[in-house]
Amino acid sequence: MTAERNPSIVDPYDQFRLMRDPASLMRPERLAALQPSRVSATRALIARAAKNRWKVTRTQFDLDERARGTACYRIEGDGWEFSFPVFSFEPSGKMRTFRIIGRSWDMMGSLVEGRISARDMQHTREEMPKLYHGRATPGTLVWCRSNRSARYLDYAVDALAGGSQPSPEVLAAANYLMRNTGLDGNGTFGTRSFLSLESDHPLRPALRAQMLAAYMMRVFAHDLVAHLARVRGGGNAAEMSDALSRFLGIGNGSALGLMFFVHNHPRLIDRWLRIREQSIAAAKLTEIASDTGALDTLQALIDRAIVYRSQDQTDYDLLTPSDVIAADLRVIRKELGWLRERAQAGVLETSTPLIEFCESLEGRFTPDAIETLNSLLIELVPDLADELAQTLVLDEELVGRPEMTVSRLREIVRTEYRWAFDLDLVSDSSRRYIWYKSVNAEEPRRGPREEIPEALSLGLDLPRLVVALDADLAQSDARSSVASFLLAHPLHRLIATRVQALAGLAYHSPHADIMSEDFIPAHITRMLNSAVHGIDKTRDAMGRVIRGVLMQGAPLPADLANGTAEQHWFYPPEPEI
Amino acid sequence: MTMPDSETAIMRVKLRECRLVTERLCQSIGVPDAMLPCVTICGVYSAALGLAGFAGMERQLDRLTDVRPERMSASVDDGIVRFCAGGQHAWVAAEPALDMLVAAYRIGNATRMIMSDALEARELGVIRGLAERHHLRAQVEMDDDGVAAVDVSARPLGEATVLDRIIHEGIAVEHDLWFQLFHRSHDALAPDTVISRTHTGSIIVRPDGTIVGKADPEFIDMDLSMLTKDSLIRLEKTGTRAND
Repeated sequence: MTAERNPSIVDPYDQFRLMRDPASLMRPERLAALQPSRVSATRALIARAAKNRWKVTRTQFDLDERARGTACYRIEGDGWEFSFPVFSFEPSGKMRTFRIIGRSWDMMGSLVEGRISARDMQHTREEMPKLYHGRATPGTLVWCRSNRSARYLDYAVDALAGGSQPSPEVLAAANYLMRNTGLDGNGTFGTRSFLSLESDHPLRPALRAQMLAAYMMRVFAHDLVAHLARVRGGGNAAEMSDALSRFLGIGNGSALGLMFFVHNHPRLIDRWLRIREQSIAAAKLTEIASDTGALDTLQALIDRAIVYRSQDQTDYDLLTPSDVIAADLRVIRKELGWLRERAQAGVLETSTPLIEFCESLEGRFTPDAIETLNSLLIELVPDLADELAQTLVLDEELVGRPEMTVSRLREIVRTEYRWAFDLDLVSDSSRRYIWYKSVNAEEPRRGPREEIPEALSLGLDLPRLVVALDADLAQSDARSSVASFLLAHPLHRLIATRVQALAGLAYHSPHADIMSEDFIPAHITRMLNSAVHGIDKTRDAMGRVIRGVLMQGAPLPADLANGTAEQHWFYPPEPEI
Repeated sequence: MTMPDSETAIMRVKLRECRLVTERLCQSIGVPDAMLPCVTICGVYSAALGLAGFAGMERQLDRLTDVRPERMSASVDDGIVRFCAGGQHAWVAAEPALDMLVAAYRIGNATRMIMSDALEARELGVIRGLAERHHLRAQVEMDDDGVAAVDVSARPLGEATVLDRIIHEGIAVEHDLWFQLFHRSHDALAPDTVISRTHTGSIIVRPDGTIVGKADPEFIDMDLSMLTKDSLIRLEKTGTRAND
């Protein structure tokens, strides 16, 4: 028998009640545990491309036997058309590095609106290698570049050239053939400002254009491997199986720059975390009686995640290893099975049992496992999630409220930034680091102040700014305006404006002292990479670099065009060949 | 057009680039961090509204080197905000002054402000753009002594703003001038020393060649000399692929 519906459970405001307190969610270590989900940029892009059967066509592929040459693709979707010209190079070890200071790329590509003309193609070919000194053509959305996985691309080519399939288990050590080394858009190099994209533009939501460029780099990587295999193997060369092609994503490495991204895009971060929380809350409110369809779906997804984690060969360092997550998921799966049995027997205590079920997991399992479940829950409300993901178009102009009283501003500071007052902000170790950018490729760096005394600090020292603001607010006339306060205390202008402009947003800034020796930058980078971008198998290096794989399992162009893309393409098992 | 036109050498720079370069220029001459966003946006509006803009940027920077915002003062008398910029540059005074007027306007105390003693007073024209951020329209009239009268009024909802125009069209600038400013903005960036290169990345190469960090076979083809060479900046200047 299903229990009577508790009126408080079905209250429409429950969705908001179930969204997490920022005091727990916004801690860096918890943010780092957030997993890719349907609202992540890659998955949202693929969901739309699959639903609307986007078509990717290779229109040019003129590469020589050493991979030098030009390719071009056309992407058609939602009534829009884009071009993706690719300039391919023979790999060179000279000045090759995984950092943005690298100067050796195996391909460069550009995502451009419409059909690119021969003139623009030539212009792009000349300008793109100059990067900061180059200018994109009108209608350019993204410039991107990537390098081969030296070991695995050659391995795949050798196998295919010999007429056989590469081993999925071998390739699963990297999970990709090429890795992204830069995706630049939104005004950089003269690319289009994303806020200027038309209201029906399919790439208008944040990061969609970059993710489409990443998808196209993956498409090119597969074509490059097929080309090189044919060059070497001639008529004996095999085609990579579709299953293996789907299994391979595009590699990615990110470092300190994403901390600047977080501080420069507080509304986007807030919205992204908010829609994730909202989707999870809505999923937990799924009504379950004897019809266990939702639980069946959830169980199947957990099974998929368990296999994915169990097969993961990645060597994790600071972050939770996949086998630990898999072990946790097995127990969660078992407990969900017990819930399902009770649902089938009609003996549930509530019509929305996922609320209590999820609550019962906290503290018993790793945050990574719990966040995996949370991400999978979102698949129970796909339409809502897709709709919310379309709202990720944010204006980040921060404007103050000059007429606000000092007392009201202080109230906001004391309630919304309570976390800042609990931090150690005075010890030497808490003030040790400085964030800056190097003149070399504008590479973001973070180091002890004494090691780079010439550097200007570019990091937002949020907690210290807030605490200092509070101290002066406390000494000021409570009824006077913020305009008057800032005239008397001009060095609070930046923080006062930020606090006012972001008032009421719960999830805009990590609750952390980023200057502290104890702060681990990789936590924030991983949150961006994993939860926002949708990158899987993210591992850290030295606590400041995150590497992982984008689009692993994503449909191939033919899957999209034919309408045969799997809805739950993520967490792909190693294909059996 | 985003590309430079070969005949006119005029290009259009995007909001992100304008803001970044202007901010770095201001930061490099010592504008306090707390004032950077408000001074920067004035520089952007200056370029978009046909004021000093990029062509006059060097002159503005020369006059922005001694920012002392504490010298500014204001009062409200007879329904008029009187703002004394205390000899501060217009880009420093514009937002604090407009704040005083907006605060007075919103509680019904004033719609007009008289601004005096601002350096580069003509640049107070940026207030037209700043007011739009508060959903207001501002008229700025300047007399021969550099005293500005600013009147604010309601602005129709949905009317395109200067910022909207920048977002959609960018700002026109002469190609060589832009890259001259771009290069000067690098003064805000830190020098690229060998020790600085240890401040990011997945490994550190010590002077004796030993490597700190986990070896990753995926990156065996990396050129580690990039982390230990004394100078890599020439590459940044040339901006081309190493194997071109």
